[in-house]
Amino acid sequence: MSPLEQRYRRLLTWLPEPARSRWADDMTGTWLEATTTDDPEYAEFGSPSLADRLDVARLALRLRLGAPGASVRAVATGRTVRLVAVAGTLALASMALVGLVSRAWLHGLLPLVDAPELGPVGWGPWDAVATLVSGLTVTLGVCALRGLAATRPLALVVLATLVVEAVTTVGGPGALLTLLTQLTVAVPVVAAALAPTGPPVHRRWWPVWLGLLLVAPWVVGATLVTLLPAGPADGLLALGDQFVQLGIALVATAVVLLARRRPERGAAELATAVLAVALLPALASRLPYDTPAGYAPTVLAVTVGVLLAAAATGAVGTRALRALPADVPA
Amino acid sequence: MDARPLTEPTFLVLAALADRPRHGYGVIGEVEELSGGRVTLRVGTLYGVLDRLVAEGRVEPDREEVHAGRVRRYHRLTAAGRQALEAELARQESNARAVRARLAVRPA
Repeated sequence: MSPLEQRYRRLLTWLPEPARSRWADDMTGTWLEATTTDDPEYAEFGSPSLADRLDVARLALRLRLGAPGASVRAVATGRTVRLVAVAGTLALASMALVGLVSRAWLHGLLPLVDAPELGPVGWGPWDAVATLVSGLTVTLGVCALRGLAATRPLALVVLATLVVEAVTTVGGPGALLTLLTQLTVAVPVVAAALAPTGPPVHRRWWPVWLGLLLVAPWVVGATLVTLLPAGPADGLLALGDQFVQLGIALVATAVVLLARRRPERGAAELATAVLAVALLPALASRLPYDTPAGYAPTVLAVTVGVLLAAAATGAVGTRALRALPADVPA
Repeated sequence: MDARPLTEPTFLVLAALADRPRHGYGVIGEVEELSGGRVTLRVGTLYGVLDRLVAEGRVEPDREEVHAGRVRRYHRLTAAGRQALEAELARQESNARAVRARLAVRPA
């Protein structure tokens, strides 16, 4: 075996089984033919190019996330990533929608609703950027729900805006707290960029998803304002925070998933665990604020609940995933 | 069967196998020729596409030959693969006809 062949075979160890067994000999042979036909000496001193390495890395990622021909375990992993992408981006879309409506309200753009009496509200370039990013985030959530091919490029665009925002934030006041929140936001967006394309979420579930994630914040907010007009207790005020709401929703999801006896465990539990772990930085960013006395204990209680939910669903999900065969095609 | 349009690499790999079975390096050369030198498939991309096409039943192993001390595995198109290729061709031809008709109308 020539040194070049050894290097190519080492590169192919990135591929998961059973694809590696199926294609390693063929791929190595094709590479060697392509690179040494015109230059036999290349077999001694040559090595895989950067483009070859990136190409194999991309193939390995696709196969590990359940591309056709991948193993049963890889398909379940891909389903987990897709669930994180769909549920996570919809939650972000919900927050972005609240941001968009709030901004419209502040500028007196909402019909039938008067703007708050805060005096003249300015409209700078950052407002325009924030509005654009909110619009993109809402679109990303809808694309992920419908399994559209635009999901991946859109996720990359949103991710790029997050990176730009992070870079411009560093060094400024409250940078750490902003970065913690961005860490939470980045997880579902990265999942959306990596998730394998698949069929859209079944239409009969759309009202449930959209209801929970797009309407629930308004219902909670309106309830708080209506029932507690004279200034709600500090602890209840924290329930208006959308990250706290998301934490409560994740704890409820974990309880339902763990209580139900389903034959197919794994993807849903692991996705819940990933989202719960991802939420922790954002919840942590809520604690140091100069908030009313009861605010922080509520956030802390929800954080503990989210931690427990992550541990329980993570353990069940990982065990179920590990029980699936890693070398049998789906 | 999946009714979505084929991606360009998938279309070109199926096209490269349309007239006769080919091995990996042969497919890369044929795709380059079919595309007039515009598309050079990387090995990882080719075998990603082949892996998917085999899993979908559009391509199947044909035979093995030893060349310069190394085994070459040939692949051929299945009936389902030929059908998918013809459906894609029909779709592209229909689009091309429609656009050509629009181009024939000179703006006033």
